[in-house]
Amino acid sequence: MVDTSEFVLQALVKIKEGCINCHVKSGIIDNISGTIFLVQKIRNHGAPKTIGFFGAQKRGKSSLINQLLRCDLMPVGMIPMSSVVVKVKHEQAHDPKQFTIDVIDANGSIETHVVEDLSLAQMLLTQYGSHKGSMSNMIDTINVTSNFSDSEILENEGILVDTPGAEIAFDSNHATETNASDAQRAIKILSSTHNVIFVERADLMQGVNSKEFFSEHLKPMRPLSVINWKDAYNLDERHNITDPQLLEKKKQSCMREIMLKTYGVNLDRTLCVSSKEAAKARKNDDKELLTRSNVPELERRILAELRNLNPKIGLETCLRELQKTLMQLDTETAKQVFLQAQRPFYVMLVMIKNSGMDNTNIAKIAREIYEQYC
Amino acid sequence: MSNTVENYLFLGLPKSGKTTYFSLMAQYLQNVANRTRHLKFLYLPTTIVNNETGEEVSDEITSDFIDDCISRIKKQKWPRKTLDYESGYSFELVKFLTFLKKPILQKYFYKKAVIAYHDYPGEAFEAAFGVGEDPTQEIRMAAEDMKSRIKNANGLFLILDADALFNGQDNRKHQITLTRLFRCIKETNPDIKLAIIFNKLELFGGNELDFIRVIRDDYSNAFAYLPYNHKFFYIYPLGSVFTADDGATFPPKKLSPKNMLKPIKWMIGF
Repeated sequence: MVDTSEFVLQALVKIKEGCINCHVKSGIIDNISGTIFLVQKIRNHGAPKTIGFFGAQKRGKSSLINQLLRCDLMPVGMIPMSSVVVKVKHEQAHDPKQFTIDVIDANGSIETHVVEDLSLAQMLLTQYGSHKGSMSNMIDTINVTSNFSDSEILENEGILVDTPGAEIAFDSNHATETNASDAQRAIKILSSTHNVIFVERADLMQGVNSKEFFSEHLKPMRPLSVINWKDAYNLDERHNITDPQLLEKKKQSCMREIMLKTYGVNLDRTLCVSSKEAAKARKNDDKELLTRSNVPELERRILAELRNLNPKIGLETCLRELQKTLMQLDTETAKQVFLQAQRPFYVMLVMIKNSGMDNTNIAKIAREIYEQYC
Repeated sequence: MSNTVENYLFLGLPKSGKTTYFSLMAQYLQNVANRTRHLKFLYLPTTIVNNETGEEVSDEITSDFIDDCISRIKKQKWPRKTLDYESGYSFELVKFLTFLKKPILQKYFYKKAVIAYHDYPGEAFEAAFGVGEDPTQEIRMAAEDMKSRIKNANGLFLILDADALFNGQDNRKHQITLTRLFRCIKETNPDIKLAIIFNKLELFGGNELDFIRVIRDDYSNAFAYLPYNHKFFYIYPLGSVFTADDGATFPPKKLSPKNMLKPIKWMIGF
């Protein structure tokens, strides 16, 4: 397949510049930034595909990861647990009963532990990577490798990354030396993340606010926003709904509305889930509850995001998103912002034509955009 | 061959890639001259006037400038912005008469070409060719300087940004500037040799477009005034570009220039 990603990237950057110059709504610019982020990751598709979970402390990031792993690897509890970055990856040749845990300290030294069962792995993670343990201050990252063939995401080369509440690191009101190094580390994690999952808690959405962190650092990275513990959200008493399905729908729509108002998230990319319900469903083998928990839907969305990193699929997604974004602008403005992107689009179309891929969806969408706004 | 000195001028709207092309071409010509005995390459000193004392000093700024440009390009960075138009950059190329591949009678038979490059501000083009409104005294002076150099030049290298032409960016400005420039040439120096150079073609990923047709169709007024002694060139001073993660383009790791010397060969006939 001919690689047109550099021209898609050039076009998107020019369109974003055009949007800024034409003072279009910030939400539209954010959408283009998100699409640019996707192309950047597509261009780097050979690298390990990391899925980073970000959010304030006690948002249930670790418990959500456990549900996606389908095992209780990450320590969860009443006090904030994660204090270091934990990366979990799958290795087909690995013994499924064993866990290889690489503990990397701040100086880059690695200490490798191979443990024989899950409870020992969890114990080590608690010791090295949580506030409960005594050694977390000295640790930078923990890599956990095993045969996680139950997890579709990991089987598809995804690496799940649990991050400690990163917004604290960016809080300028509480700037300390430790914060500065935490911020550096958080930026490093962000820059290497392919898919950003922003986790908020249903009953704390308007509480501790990570708004600044979200809009400054996560929003341009096309995040998938997750409202965890949806079961903990209670509707206002004035909503007198008795039908459980209707009630669930109403609850989810209210939660999403609060997320929109608080963070300005993209509603298409916001999901209400419950890791608690998923855990209960798995324990009791309750398929209905599992579906209701929306964790399988989150898994499906993450898998779709991973597929998007494949240039063949991802570039089509980028062009579709661009087409959708340009349609939100009035024709005159759209033509104006598209002006400087004509050349990369033209080159892309010629390259597609020369490679005999004229009948593909990418060619079709690119042609439609070019003809409409040129 | 007689002992003649000809002046050539490098011109183009701001950001048309003049500096990159000029510095790479100078370096290339210098390398060629170093390998042959019948060709001599020399950077010319620039006269710089001290604004406070009015004192004139000669300084070898061109070689430093070219060295800096080349070093930046090799580090995959774009050249720094040029100094104002008064401190022009120039080099001299001398060709001697040869017999059995050896230069003979060097004192009497040579052909010297001085190629000068002045970075005029965009407004100077407008002022020189009557497009802009109320130019400042400084811009008016730059415009006059440009016009007088055009009048006295034997040839003109006109660098056009192919990307800007294709995108129709500053379409009106291009249209008017080119029309007035060609008209000015016809009125003041109709015999001048004009090399119209489409630059930045690397951005088209090797998919060359018929830019002569673009000029003919989209800039028909300008096309009508084209001086008779002109020729179009498609050049690739870098060969390709590297697109960074932020979508910006930079010089590639390895340069593979194409057609770079065609305009100067046609222009000075060496």
